[in-house]
Amino acid sequence: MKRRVIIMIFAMALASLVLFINFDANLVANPQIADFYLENFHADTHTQNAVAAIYLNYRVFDSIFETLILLVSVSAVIIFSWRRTDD
Amino acid sequence: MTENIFLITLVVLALIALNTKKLRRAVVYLGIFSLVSSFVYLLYGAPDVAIAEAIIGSTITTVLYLVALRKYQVFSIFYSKSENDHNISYIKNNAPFLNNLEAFLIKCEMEPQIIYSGESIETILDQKKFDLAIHHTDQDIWIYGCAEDYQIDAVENYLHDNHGDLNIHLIRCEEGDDNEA
Amino acid sequence: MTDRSEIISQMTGLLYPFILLFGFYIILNGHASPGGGFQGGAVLASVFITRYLVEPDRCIQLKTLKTAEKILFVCIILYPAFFLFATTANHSELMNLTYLIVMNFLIGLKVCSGFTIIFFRFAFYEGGI
Repeated sequence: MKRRVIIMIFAMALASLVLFINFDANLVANPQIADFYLENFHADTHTQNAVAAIYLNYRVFDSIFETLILLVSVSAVIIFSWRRTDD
Repeated sequence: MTENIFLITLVVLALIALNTKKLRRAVVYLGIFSLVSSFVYLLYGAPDVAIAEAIIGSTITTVLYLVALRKYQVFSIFYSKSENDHNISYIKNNAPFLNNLEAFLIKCEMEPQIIYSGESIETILDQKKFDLAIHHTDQDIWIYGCAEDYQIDAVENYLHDNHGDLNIHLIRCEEGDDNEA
Repeated sequence: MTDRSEIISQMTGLLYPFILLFGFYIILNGHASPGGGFQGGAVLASVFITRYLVEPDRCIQLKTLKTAEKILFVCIILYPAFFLFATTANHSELMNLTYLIVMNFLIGLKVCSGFTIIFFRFAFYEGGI
């Protein structure tokens, strides 16, 4: 019972902290660079979708390392599976 | 306003998924949770993330969790004796090492499922799907396991350390057509 | 899942082409509408995963998928390296559109093969029943 009360108080404190940070934070991290992307993406990449322009042109390393992470996790699944056969 | 309603729904669904007794229902609640959260992403104006969340959260992980629950760590052991004595209590009293093996597998976070079989060892090896097959004769204990399973090494070490006095022979057989687990 | 349902297998067989079409639509239209390689690849992978629900006994050829994934990863590295980083000149509209569509397509195929390998490896090469 005592343990439950402590856990409850801890969870409430954590929730209030998260809510405090959420209401206090500025949702757009850097307005200048966001405005720059929104103004210039069509002229730079000739596309209609700003998201595609960002993840394939401005931030292409993001996509590359995302696929690398998928490749590494596939290798990990193959190595650590129960049966050791490689097909 | 709509976002707040769906955010509260998310919290309620997460609590329900935590408090259900059956894991299967918790998986279904998690699928609904992903669907509602994808709708919240849509309300916040992020359709890309909403598509990804809807597909990955409610299709792929749900099916993956259900498959995982189906094969939840079941380790099937077939046990057969050479004599025609099928008295289970007699076998249990005569084989304390089987209980120890069971406890060891439980410690390794597996769920051993022991099947006392009256058939001969050759039929079991040919036809059944087993992880371990144990053949108990008068003096010797023959244990058959698939050579590709990595639990075999742990089982062998355990048996060697704790039951070195029994005549235990561990045989790694090839993976056949039917005996893959 | 050993006792398969006739309704589910018939309906899934009927829905295959539509799910495939939707996945390729998301991938190929990713430069103009929401979506893209990752999302479309996940849709294509869900086709293979629902195939497991219909035929739980048959595994697919994972070896070709594995080699395909590695080759696609090399392509994903090489195409931006030659297109974005090698030249400093402004590209024409056609070249940009080709770049976006081809990259989306490569990423989609790679994500599809990755998810499929993970799922089938898990379903057929792990312990249990």
